Amino acid sequence: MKKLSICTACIMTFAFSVSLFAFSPPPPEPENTDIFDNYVAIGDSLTHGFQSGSVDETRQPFSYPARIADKMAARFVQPLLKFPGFLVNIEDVGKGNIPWYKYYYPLVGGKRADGYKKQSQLNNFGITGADVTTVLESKGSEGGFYKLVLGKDGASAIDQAMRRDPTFMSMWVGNNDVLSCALWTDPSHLTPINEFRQKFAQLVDRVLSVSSLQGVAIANVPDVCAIPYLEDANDPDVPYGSMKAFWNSSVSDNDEVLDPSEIATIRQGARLINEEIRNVAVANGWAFIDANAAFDEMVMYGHALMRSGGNNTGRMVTTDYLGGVFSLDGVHPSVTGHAIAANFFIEAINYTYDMNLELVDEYAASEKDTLYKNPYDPRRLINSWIGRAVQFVVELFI
Amino acid sequence: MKYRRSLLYAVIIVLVLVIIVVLQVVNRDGTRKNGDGDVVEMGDDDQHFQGGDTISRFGSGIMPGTTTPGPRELTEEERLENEREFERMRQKLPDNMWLPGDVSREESRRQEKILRDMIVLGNKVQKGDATKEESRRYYSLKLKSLEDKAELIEYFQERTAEKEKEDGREYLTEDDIHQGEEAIEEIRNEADQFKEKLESIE
Repeated sequence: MKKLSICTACIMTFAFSVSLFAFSPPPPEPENTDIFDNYVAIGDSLTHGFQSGSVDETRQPFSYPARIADKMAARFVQPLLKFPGFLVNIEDVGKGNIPWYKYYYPLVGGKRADGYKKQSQLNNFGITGADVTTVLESKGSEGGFYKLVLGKDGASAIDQAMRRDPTFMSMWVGNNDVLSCALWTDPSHLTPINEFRQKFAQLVDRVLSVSSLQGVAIANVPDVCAIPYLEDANDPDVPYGSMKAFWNSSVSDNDEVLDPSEIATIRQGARLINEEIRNVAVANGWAFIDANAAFDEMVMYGHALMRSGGNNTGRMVTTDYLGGVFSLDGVHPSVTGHAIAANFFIEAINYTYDMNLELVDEYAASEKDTLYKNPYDPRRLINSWIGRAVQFVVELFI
Repeated sequence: MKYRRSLLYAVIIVLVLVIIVVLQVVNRDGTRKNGDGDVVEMGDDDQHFQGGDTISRFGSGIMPGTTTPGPRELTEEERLENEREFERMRQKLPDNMWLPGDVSREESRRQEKILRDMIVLGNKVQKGDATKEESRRYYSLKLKSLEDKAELIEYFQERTAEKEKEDGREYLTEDDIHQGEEAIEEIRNEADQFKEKLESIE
């Protein structure tokens, strides 16, 4: 009799469980194929997750490579920096969200949240300030952000990334070979094209030597003269069409602007670097992200935020200062900007490797972007730490 | 009677199943574990993160409870504490370049001037185009910036130790203090280089 009761109970339980699962919608499962088993990212501050003057653990999880990894269902370990990071996020300073004693951490050079315990498991090798040469050659002993990503005596970014036996890799380098011209308002900081070609070829050789790699996504350099760090100088004392830094309220010297001929020189240098990057992508059949073209389009028309299914929400963001795409340093993307950048990569990866990675929900990203929802404008009130943060950004890219 | 017993067994089994399912969902959506099943470490012991759903179930560097980018807002009590401590810093370290808190228009104009000199003069010095006066101004600013930074690190170490005695809370760890000592040494070495450069101009 007892057996009968248990038997009846089991049948009822089975029926109930079946009904439970039958009526629950299955959760959407992200892509997880062999090609995305082990994803590593190489790059500079954009890949590192730098925003508004700082890299910190509260925003690094929303960097574009972390967003891509999320859609790949790939494990993605990042070198998170203890809040408030290195240096400080201008938004956090302006909104008063940093407890007084935490200003200590940026003063002592930032602190890795994991105490370097996860060094051998890292997937993100984006290093703020890195250019084509330093990605290849600089080690942790260099200090600053190199130490914070690579470890105190760690090998170079490319060495550590390749040691991880990646199956997929994204590479967005070259920005800092052009960017310093904009930050210093001086075109002489451009990396000469021959030097870029030589170092980039070495970098590509290293990537091609890794047998585990099944796919690569590579992006070119957006127009650094169109970032909101620069704005019209609008000053009769400098040539018409000159541009000055956003924080500079009154120009007193020609050295404080980029004049139209200097802007043309920088754009020509960037064009040559971009040709090189495109040629490499085409020659190797890699996914190519034309970040330059995508950025130009955003500068011209703005960008309508998309849902993860690709539908346009009609909510527009722009590349203007506080327009939604950029953070407060006028150089690096905001949380929303990172979501948009991730989608440029995802679209190129899907196209090249015949994949079906879901897009990042840009609208949802903007809803959670505190800078978009509750903007803060530091331009009229530069306090000591905001000033130091801007200076920090500029001096990083010498 | 037998149906009542079987119903009781059924209810117990269903409850166990429901608990298992709920735990699975919590583990998956709450990112208490990453893709490899490791517990994802918090970066900060005092939870300076905003809560809610996370963007990843697969350990994309996401920490438990991190859903919204950026830190949580300070409580009213913390804001008042900040105001008190910033005011104390201004009294103890007048004219330190790294003092947080002041957002007056006058201060803003002063900071813009410092920023312009640091960047424009820095570029000229680097290219060898600066006059003696410009080089002097630039190196003096760099030196002051470094000395003030070292001064503020020491201030934080002393003040947090005092506060710890007052309220028993740990503000900085031993490791933090050690890192600060190393930073001060590096800063002083760098400052010596700028002193030499300044002397070479004279």
